Amino acid sequence: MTLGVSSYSEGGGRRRRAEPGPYGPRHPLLNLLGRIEQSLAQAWPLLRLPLSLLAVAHLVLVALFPGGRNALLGYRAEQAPTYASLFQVPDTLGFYTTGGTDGFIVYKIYTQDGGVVDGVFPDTGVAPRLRYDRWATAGNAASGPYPALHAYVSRYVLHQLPSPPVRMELFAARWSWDRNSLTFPWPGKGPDTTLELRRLGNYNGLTRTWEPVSKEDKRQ
Amino acid sequence: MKPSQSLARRAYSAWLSFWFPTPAPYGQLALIRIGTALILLYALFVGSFDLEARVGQAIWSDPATRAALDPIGWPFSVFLWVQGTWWLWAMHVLAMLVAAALLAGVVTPLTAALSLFFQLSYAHYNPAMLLGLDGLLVLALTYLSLVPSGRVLGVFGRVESDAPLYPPYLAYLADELPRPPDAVLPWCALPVRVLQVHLSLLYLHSALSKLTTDWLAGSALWHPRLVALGALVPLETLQATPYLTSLITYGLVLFELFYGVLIWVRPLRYPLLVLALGVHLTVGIAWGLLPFNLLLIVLNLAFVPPAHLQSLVRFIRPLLVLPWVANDARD
Repeated sequence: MTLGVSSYSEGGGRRRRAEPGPYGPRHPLLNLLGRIEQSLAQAWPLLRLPLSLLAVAHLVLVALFPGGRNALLGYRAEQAPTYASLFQVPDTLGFYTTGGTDGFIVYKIYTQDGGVVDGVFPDTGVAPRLRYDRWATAGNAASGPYPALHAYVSRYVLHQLPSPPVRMELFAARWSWDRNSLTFPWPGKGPDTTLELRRLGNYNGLTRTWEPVSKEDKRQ
Repeated sequence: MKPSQSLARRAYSAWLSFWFPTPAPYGQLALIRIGTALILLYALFVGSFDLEARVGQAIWSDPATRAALDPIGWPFSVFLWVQGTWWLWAMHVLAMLVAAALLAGVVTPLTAALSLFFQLSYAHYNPAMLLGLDGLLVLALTYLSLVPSGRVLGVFGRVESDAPLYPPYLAYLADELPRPPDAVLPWCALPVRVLQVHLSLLYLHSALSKLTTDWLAGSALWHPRLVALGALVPLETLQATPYLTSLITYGLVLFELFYGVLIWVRPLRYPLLVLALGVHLTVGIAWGLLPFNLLLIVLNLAFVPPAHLQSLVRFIRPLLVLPWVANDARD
């Protein structure tokens, strides 16, 4: 039987040189794929019902936990169903919202010549926009309660500086909206926002160490 | 035959015909594949600028942080299995080559599955820098890995005019196994159908998540980040006319709320697709979110009647002037 592997002779066991097919030389991997596909095609009538049920199960999971969140209940699963969390599409379909993309990092650098430089992470000048958006997501995550990320952002910012600073202060920043009432069809109140800052820690240029903010400082 | 049996049989038949409609010609799958692969390549290329900072060993391999940001049980990643900058770049270049192979239509179930593996590797290694685009790419690649989308507009076409018109990667079996009765594989319609339902759910979820105070206040165009980065639309003019901004933001919410339902009404399909095209192009260009919105446009091709897309493929193919671009077996 030469089922898809015609590079072997049928009787003698002596290997024969592969003959080129209409698309080039035959390849065992392609033949294997072909065999799998052929078997599936033959078993197709039996597979239809289980496959459709599998598809429904898949969509139910996607519907209930898109990216590990339940938008209907506003529920964020700590241990999301592993499979559904693969589809980490945010609920917002790419639009900016105040739900989870407006956190960022503000830093204050005390330079060796006595100057003070303020900056934000990520830098709004990062281009193209896709690249900026990635860093913005990192900035949003770093503004959360993740000490390891705070330390990483401090290192990343320091790495971008031309010379090491004497001191650097890192803050988590978040825009707070003043206009959060229904305005339509009435005129809006104005697009004013205020910036909330929360200290994350300091970089000590003398000891070259990152000092996260202590619990006592947080209480203050 | 008893009426109940007849009813059950009809229900079963209707169930199957919904999930397995007439198999779509490969043209629809090919266009989705090409669009997805182009955007994937762009995302990988842009990711090259910050590769070591983004997927380096500095912090992103910290298990505690990763577990907090990415609740998946087994956060597998190829970047956890290799060490050193050389291997990091080697894997990244390999990911780009695989994406290029997917674009070219080379053994697409394999190249789509490999691209999916790389996408998940980036995502799980550094969950702090995930975008909606990544999730949408995972979605698209999942379904593309289930179908042989490279059989049209793929590089492995027939080289002789009298060669059998069998789909490319099975060409090697063409002489030795009986061909299926239909040249289009029967399961090709299922992933497209699931993709349609998935997209409907996605729009619905997106709309529901927007029923919050900031969107209902009509203030989405004043998001601080949008204001800080600037947009192509004149924001000052819009801000001076609150009625207009409110209408735009409410319009977006209403569009997303009803799109996933009304798209299934056949007479409304094309008007809604045109509306979706307009919305995504406008938001993509004006707000600078082009790759994500372009990918949504590509995925919405799943709703376009396959025969119409096949006509488009017939129009595109001569323009490519590539004699080795695969022909559709149905032509």
